[in-house]
Amino acid sequence: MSASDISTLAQPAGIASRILLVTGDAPIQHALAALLREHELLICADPEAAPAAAVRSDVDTIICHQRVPPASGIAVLREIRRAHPRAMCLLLCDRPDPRLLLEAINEVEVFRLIDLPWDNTGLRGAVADAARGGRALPVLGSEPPTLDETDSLKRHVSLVVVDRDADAQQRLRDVLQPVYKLHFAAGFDRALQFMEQHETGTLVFATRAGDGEIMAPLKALKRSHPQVTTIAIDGQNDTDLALELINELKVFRVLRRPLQPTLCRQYADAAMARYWRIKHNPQAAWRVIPAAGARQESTQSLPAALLNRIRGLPGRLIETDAR
Amino acid sequence: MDWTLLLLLLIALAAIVQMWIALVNQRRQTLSANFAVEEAQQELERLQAAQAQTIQVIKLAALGQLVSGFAREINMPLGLSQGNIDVVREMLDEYRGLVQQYDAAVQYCLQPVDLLFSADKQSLDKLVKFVEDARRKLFEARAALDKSPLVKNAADLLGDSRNALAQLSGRVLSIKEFARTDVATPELIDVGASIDNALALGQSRLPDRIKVVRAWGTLPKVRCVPGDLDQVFLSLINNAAAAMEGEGTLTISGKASGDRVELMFDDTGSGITDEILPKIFEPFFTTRPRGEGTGLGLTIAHKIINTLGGSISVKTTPKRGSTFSVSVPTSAVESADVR
Repeated sequence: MSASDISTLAQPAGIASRILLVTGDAPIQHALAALLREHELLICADPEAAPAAAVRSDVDTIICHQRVPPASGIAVLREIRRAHPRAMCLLLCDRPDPRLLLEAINEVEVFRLIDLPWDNTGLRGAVADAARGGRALPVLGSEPPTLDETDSLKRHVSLVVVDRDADAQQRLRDVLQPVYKLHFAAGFDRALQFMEQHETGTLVFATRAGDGEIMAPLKALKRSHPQVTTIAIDGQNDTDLALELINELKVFRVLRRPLQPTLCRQYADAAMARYWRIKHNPQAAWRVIPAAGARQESTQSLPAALLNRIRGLPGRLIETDAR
Repeated sequence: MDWTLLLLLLIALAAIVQMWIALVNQRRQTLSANFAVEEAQQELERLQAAQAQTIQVIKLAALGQLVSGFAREINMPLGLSQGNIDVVREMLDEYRGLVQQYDAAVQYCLQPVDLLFSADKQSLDKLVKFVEDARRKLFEARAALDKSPLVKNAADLLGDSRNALAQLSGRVLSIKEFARTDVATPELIDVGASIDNALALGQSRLPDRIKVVRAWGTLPKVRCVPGDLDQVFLSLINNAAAAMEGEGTLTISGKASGDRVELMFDDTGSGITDEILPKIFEPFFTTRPRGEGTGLGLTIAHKIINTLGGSISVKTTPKRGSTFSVSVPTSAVESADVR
């Protein structure tokens, strides 16, 4: 199946959904019950009871506060994800430290991280996106690719790395070259040139690539081609950047420097498998769509020609412009 | 004249002159000593003023470090209130819609009264149906108004917003109290409130992974300059937070013991090694990365507690945690006032 065979699907209709709110904080319960009154909101103040409640009520979306003593929001979402993988997870967090954000990305695949205090419009938008994604099937797991999938990926799909760090390049080459079609690009533009010619499943990029701004064009790429999974290489503890990676880039995994070969392989396998599964189930792309708010900024800051090239990449699965 | 008498007079004169010289010398020495004492007194006052000023400067520096975290703290109640107000405005519009529906139903009900006067039998049957329909509509509109959670929810949101703003006001007061530079004279300070204040100020340094156990009861008041105890406790809280990289517990306990208040700040952090332990109260000593600590927190804490006639000590076990003990005196009269 080539990239051009994939049809563009219309977005699922309707945004009202069933939401489980996990928090014992009464003001947050009141505020969200009022804000999200168009949806069916179930409230669970007991973090231990939340996974069973999510399954029992077959909720589309979980909104969990990071402070749910004696547990943590991340721990609760991890359990819910095991018990009820269909649900999309939103984490409310009022002092996210970078380590927590790393867990939110790598372990829980949080759909949106809502930095408190939330913006009403932004949160409603995130819930609407989550509702759409929560109903999109199939559920995307984090399992490594099967042998057949690996074989197909190796023959048809490339993995592109945008990182000028020689040590990182060498480590990735050692680990990934024997498994995937690996291509190194000096910057986003070079990567785009390659992607125009070759089907690309995963893009590994340094958050500070050193060759011009990479985040804005990546956001544009993720909005038009959410199936292309991204792995960020980041050497610093920057909370704002981590929020950007989760919400606006829907980054799949984050690697810390110095790169650990085992993690590189594990994350690359999972990322390529994820790409393959979305490609064959285009509706699932709604589960990895980045925040709508980012689109305007990306569009404004990028030259029209570059945006057109990004949008024109082969293999577009869903019509995000209609949102 | 008798020479003997003259000699005696001369001797007496010499003795008087000598005594006078001795008195002058003594006076001069006394004056000199008084001057030296006065000078020393002035110097001491200058040093005390400089010390008080240093403490204020350190407090302001600590305040600067707190600002970013504090901004986040006040951001939540502000944001919640703002968001709630927006939602209440939406809800009022929706409620207005329900009231309009009710009004329309009432108007609909009034129509048969006009028709009644000019009705024939066929029309009356229609009228009965109309009235039944009108009653149903009116009942439904009234039920929609009664069932609507909008008013209760709006009241909840406004109540929460009020509480959030009160919390915000409390935080602002706590930082104002901490930053007071206008009061240099000691006052009776509530130790428990001072710990609460320091915890509020240091909250941004205490991530969720750190559990704080408040284990102090009613404590006697202590006479000290407002804000000084907050500064001591904030330093101890910050140090405990910095010592706990992963999950941990900070237990703050306290009790009155005779004419003293005994406090313990117990953390489950990394502890302090034998090499570092002797240096922790030294000025400008810090184990934190550049820009994250002044190296003066514990020095100032030590100085403040010493000034109060108290003591501060530490027991530590590397990789298991540290306990800072603070003991400050309180007079019996002052204690009796508040117990």
